[in-house]
Amino acid sequence: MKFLLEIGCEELPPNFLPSAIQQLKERMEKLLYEKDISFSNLFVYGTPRRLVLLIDDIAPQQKERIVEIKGPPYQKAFDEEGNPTSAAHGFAKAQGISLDELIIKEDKQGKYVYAVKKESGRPTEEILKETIPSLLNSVYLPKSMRWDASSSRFIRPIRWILSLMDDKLLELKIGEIASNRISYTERYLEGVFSPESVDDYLQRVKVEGIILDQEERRKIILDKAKELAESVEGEITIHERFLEKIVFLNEKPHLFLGKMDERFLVLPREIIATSMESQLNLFPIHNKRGELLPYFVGVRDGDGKGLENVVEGYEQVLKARLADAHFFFEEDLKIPLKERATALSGIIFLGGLGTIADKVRRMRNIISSLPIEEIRERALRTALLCRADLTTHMVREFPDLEGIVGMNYALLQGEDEEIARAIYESYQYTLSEEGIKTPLGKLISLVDKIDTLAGAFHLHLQPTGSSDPFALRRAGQTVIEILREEERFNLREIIQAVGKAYKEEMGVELGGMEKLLEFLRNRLELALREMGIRYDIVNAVLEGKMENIRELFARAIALNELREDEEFIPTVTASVRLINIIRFAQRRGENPPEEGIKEDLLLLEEEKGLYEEGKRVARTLEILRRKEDYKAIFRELSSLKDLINRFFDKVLVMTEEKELRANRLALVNFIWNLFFLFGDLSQIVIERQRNDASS
Amino acid sequence: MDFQTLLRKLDEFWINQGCLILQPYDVEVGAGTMHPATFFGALGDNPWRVAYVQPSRRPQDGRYAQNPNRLQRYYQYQVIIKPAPHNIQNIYLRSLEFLGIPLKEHEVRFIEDDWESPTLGASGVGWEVWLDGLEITQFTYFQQMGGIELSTISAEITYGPERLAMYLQKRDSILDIEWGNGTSYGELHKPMEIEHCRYNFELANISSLVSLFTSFEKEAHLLLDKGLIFPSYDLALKCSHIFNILDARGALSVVERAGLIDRVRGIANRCAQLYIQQEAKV
Repeated sequence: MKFLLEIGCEELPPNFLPSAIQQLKERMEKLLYEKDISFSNLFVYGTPRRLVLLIDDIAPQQKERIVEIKGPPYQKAFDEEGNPTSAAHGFAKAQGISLDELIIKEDKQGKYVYAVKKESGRPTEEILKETIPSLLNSVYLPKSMRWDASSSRFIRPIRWILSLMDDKLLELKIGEIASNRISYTERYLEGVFSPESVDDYLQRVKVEGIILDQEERRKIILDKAKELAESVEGEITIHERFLEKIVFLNEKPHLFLGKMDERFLVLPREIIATSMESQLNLFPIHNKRGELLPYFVGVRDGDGKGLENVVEGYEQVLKARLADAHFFFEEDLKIPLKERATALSGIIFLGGLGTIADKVRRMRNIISSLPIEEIRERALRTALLCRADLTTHMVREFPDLEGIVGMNYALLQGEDEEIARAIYESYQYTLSEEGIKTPLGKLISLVDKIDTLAGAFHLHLQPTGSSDPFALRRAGQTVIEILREEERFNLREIIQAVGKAYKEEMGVELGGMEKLLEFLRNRLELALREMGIRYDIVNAVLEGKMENIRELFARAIALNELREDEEFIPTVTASVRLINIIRFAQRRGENPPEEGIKEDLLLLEEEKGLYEEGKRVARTLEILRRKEDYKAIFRELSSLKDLINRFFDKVLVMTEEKELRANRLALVNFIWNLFFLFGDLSQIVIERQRNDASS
Repeated sequence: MDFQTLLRKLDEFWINQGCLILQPYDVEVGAGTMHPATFFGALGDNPWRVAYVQPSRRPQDGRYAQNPNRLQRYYQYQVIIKPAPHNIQNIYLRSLEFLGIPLKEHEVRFIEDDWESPTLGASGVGWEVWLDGLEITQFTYFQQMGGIELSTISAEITYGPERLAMYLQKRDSILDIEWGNGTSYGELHKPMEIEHCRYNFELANISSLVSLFTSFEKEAHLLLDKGLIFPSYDLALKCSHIFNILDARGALSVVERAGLIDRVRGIANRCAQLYIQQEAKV
C-alpha cells in the first residue's frame, strides 16, 4: 500500500521548509518504528504551497505483538492459601483471559499479577488518523500564526488536506480543515482536481509540471541556470543558501535569461549582486575572470505562458534599483571617504556616548596604545576610514552593504587593498574567508567591537534574556575568536586601552567593566562548551588566568583530551591535595608567605626532593609553554605526583612550629602555581568507581 | 488606466465583496493600518469589512522628488476583512484581474514578509506580493493589535496604488503617472513634496516638536483616565507623526528612539484595552 499526505498551504517561507521536512521525516519514521508498522520508503517533500509525505509499501496493520498488562498486587489478587480473590477474577475478566493465563512478576514495587495477551495489530489507517494531527503539531515553528476560529497554529494558513491510503480517503481533521479527496495544481482553489489514488495524484502532479522532490528541483535549477549562463558565455557562482532559497520558492521552476543595462556595470559587483540576489532572487552571471556580465538568470514559478511579461518586469525592477544605486554611487564619489569624518559627527553612537566621529577617535586612541608597531600606521588609517561609508547615500539606501561600500569606494579612491579589505572586515562578525581574515581586519574589528561592548556596558545596555538589540553577544563572541587567533593581544591590556581612550577622548570614566569581564567569561564558557569540552574542565580553565585567550583554549583542549589518560586522575588528585591544604590554612587566616621558600628550612628528604624537582619542572615548563605544548606540560606536572603524595604522607605541613609551617606552605604554593598554569584543577569532577549496590 | 480610475476600480471590486468604502482619516498617519477603522476594526470579534484610500506620511522616505520611487507622502489602498475568509488570497488575486492584469500571463509571488508596528503594539504574519518582480501589495494576517492578542483574525491587504499605476501605465517614475484627465501625479504633488522634505529634514523645530510630543502624550493619558478612546487615539497618532519627523531630522539616539516608541505604544495599548472593555459592555 502507498500512503500520501498533502498539506496544502498559503506560501510557506523558504527557510522554514528544510527543517520542517527533516522533522516530519524523522518523526514519522520514529512513529512507524514504535508502532511496529513496516514500510519500504518514506519521503517528505516541500514546495511553497504543499508539504507532502509519501510512504511506499506501508503495512496495512501493525505486526502482531505480545503485550503484558500490569494488574493488581499479588497480595490482593491471591489470598494466603494462594487462591485467586475477586480482584484476580475481575482483572482477568476485564482483560478477556482466563485465570490460569495470569502470570506473576516481581519488580521494585513488589510482586504483581500480569495478563499476557497476544494483540493482533491495529489497522495502520486508524493509527495514522490518530497521530498525524499531533505529528504536524510537533514541528518546530520559528514563528507561528492563527488564521481561523480554531486554535490551530502553523507557520502559514493550512487550506487543504489530502490523505490517501492507495485509493481510500483517510479522514483527518486539523483545526477547521477536514481532509478531502481534493487537491490543487496551483494555489488553493486554482487547478482543482480529485485524485483517485496515490498513484493518480503523483501522475497528475507530474503532468502539471510540479516537481515535488526538492533534490530534483535543485538539479533542474542548477543545470538550467548554468545552461542559460553559458548561452551568453558566462558562469554562475552558486551560494548554497541562496540556491536553497530558490529551490523552496518554486514548485514549477521555469528559468529565464534577463538583460541588465550595461551602463550599470561601473557599479561595484557586490552592489549589483545584492540588488539581484537578496532583493530580487536573481542569479548574477559573470565571466571567467569573475567580472559581471549584463545578464541574469531568473526563475518563474509557473509555465512559459506570457514569459516575456515576466522577463520584462524583472528587467524593469532591476533597472529601477540599479538606477537608484548608480545615482547614489556618482553622488557619493564626489566626497572622498577621508573627508567624511565630519559628517560622522552627525550620527549618534548608542546615545550618551557621542557620535560615530567620537567612536573613530577612540578607536585610533586604542590603536595607539596597543603593541602593534608594524601595522600601527595602516591601522590608524583604516580606523579613520572604516565608518565613513555610513554617511554615503548608498549605505543609507542599502544598509546591508555597509563595509562593502566602504571597501569599494576606498579602492576607487586609491587606498591600498589591505586597508580597503580591513574596512569591510571591520563590520563583520565571523572569522572566515568571506569574513574577518586579514591581520589588519582582525585588529580593526577587535578594536571596534571592544569599544562598543565597553560603551554599552557603561550605559547598562547589556543584553538581557532574549533581548540583545545591539548584537553584543555576537560582538563578544567575535572578540573571543579574534583573541584566540591573535596571541599578542592580551585581554587585560585591551580593556585598559579602551578605558584610557574613553577617558582621554570623552572624559568618561568607564563603569561596568566587571560586568563586561563576566560577560566575556560567559562567552568563553559557551565557546568552550560548544567545542565539546566537558563542563568541569571548562570551569577549571576559566578559574585560571583569562588574559591570553589563545593559551586558554590550548589548555582546555589539552586537558579535555588528557581526560582519558591513565595519569589524569592521579595527577589531578595529587594537585588537589596542594590546594586543599592552602585553602585550609587560608581559612585559619594564614596565607603562604610572599617572600618564598627558605631552602635551609627544608628539613626532610621529601621536602627537598619536591622542591628540587619542582624547580626543574618550572624551568621545563617555561620552554614547553613557548612551544604551546600543553600535553607535554601536563606530563611534566604528572611526574610530580608521586613526590607530592610522598610529601603529604611524610611531612606535616600544618606543624606547630610557625616558621616551618610557613615555609612548607610556601613550598606547597610554589608547586600549586605550577599546576595553576592549567587553571584550578580542583574544579574537575572525579567520578568514583561505581559499585553496583542495587543488586 | 489612470490613477483615479484605478482607485475607483478597486472601490468597485471591494464593494462587490461586501466592503464599506470609507474615507481617509484626517490625522497624519504613517500607514493605512493606523486609520481607526483598521486599528479598532481589527479588535474584538464583530465582523468587519472596509476599504479606503489613506494618504500616508513617511518623512524618512522623502527624496525632494528626485527619486522616481520614493515620496514622503503617498497613498495606500487598504482593505480590512474580519474574520479572514478562507479564500482571501484568491479574492485578492481576482482583484488584480479586475484591474486588467491577466494573471496567467504574469507571475504573482507571495514573498514572506512579517509585519510589525512597534508604535501600535501590532504585528502580523504575511507576505509582500510581487507582480513580475515588482512589489505591489502587503498582505497580512493580523495577530496582535494594541498589545492585545487577537481572537478573531483579520486579513489586511494594502495595495501600493502608485506602483500598480506605474506598472499599468508603463512609467518609470511615480511623478509621471497620469492622475486623470491629462494631469500627472507630479503636477499635483511635486511642490508639496519638495517643501515637506525641506521641513522634515532641515527646518522642523526639534525642541518644539519634543515639547508637543510631551503635551500630546500627557493629554492622551488624561483623556483615557476619563474614558475617552478616540480623541486619545488621535493624540497617539500625532505623537507618532512627531516621532517620525524627529527621526527624519536625525534628532534621536538609539536609546531615545526606543523610548519614544514605547511611549506612543503606551497610549495605543491603553486605547485598545479600553475599546475592548467598552465593546464587552455593549
